[in-house]
Amino acid sequence: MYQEKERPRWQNMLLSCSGIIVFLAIWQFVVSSGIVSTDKLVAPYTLCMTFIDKLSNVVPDGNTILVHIATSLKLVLAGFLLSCLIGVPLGLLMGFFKTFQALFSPIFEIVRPIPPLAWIPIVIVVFGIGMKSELFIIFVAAFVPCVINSYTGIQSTDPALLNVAKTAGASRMQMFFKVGVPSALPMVFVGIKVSFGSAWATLVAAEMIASSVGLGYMIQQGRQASRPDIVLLGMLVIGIIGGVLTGLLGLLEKKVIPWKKH
Amino acid sequence: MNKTYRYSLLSVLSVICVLGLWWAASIWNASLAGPVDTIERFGRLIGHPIMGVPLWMHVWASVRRIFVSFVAACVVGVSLGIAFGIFPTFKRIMWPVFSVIRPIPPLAWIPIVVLWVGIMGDTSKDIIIFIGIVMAIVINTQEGIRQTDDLLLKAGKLLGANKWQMLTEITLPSSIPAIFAGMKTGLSTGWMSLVAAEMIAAKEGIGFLINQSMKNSSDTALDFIGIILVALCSAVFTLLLNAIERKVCLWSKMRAK
Repeated sequence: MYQEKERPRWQNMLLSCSGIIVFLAIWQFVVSSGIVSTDKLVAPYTLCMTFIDKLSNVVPDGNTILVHIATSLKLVLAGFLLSCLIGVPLGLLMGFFKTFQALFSPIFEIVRPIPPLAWIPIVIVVFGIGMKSELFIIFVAAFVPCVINSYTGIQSTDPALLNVAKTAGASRMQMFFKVGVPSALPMVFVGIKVSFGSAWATLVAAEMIASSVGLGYMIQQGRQASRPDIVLLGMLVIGIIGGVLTGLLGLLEKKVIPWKKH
Repeated sequence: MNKTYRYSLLSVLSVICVLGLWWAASIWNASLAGPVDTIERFGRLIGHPIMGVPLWMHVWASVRRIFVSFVAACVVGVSLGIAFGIFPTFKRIMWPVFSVIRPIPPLAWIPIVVLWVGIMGDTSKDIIIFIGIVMAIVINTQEGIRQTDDLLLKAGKLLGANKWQMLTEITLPSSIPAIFAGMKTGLSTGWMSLVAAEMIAAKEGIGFLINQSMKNSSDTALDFIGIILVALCSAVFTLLLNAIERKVCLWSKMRAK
């Protein structure tokens, strides 16, 4: 019903590009024609120039853009990997073993609804301002989706498969590792992707509130210096890096679970 | 001792452990408020409002912002999602633009939105929360429409439904569970954006309380109150949404089973 018309490949490419090009053209037009003042929005062309300039210029935020990107990436990857390493096993165990569920799910239900940023004041008291605080906040933000999805994934394991394993004489541990975990993998990956998204979003906020380097800090400084070009550049870089890394996770997913339909 | 009894005992035990840990941490680190301090602080907060704004006004400010942005995001998000879902050519053209904008976290919009509409007033916060909520709704609506059962569509066609009927009688109802899932995801992003937006630029609201707790010589008890309030409010919103979903979509629970 809602199928796309069959078109040659080049036409599809052309249509996809046209969207972006028209978008950029309108953007350039509203700025150059003076409809929107340059205090509020800068044209795509100016943005490119700012990017090239920011590769070596440290004004107004004290670092080049590459340093900001590297700092942000390091932090987000550390927090994200840590939360996957702890969150995924915890979710799987909670979903499969009743004892784990009874023990950990109340704790988890208390922590879950707290917005990650609300931890900032507490974390600053405990760890002080700096890397450790940011790492903790990113960890909390990424941790929750990891646990929830792993938990739901392993809980919806087909009971027939579990019974087959039981009949064939598998131990409880074997059932967990050979049946439960593989069948939960697609959901685990959904969780990993969501948790990367929220780690990335939280990182930016954490850097805006309590940091002195990083992309979030850069856009915050750009606002204080009334430099919309820096702000927009920061947003675009954040958007593009986020998009690319999510795409990479998607590729990894295809490698790890080739049986899932895409 | 039967099994259910033992499991609920374990659960109670773990909650007590959390409270105990919290209390122990507050003793180990004197500047961290414990459970008792938090309750005391709550009592004082009722008597001595911060910045002359009583507590319920802070809560109301946040709830109002979430509500306004949520309604706007539902209208825009569902319409855009439907457009992406039923017009593949529109999707082909606009999806690349959408995919560049989508991964920009709502909080990264704060500086530019502040430059556009100013830091004061509700508009800047409403826009940021709106951005936080709308993305999930667009994606889920679009996905829900794409996954409409082909059999149902063919049956509709066979019975002579026109395009409008196909959309309102078949496609939309069958996408409702996906749309609601999007609304719930969006709502939790919305609360997170609200806290951030209010922490960075606001004069009232729960996020403002949380930010205030950092300023007054690390008043962590106030932060805990803020955390508990956000958790309660977002739980109420989720419960309401679940109730509406059960009314609108009687079959979604059945299918889940």
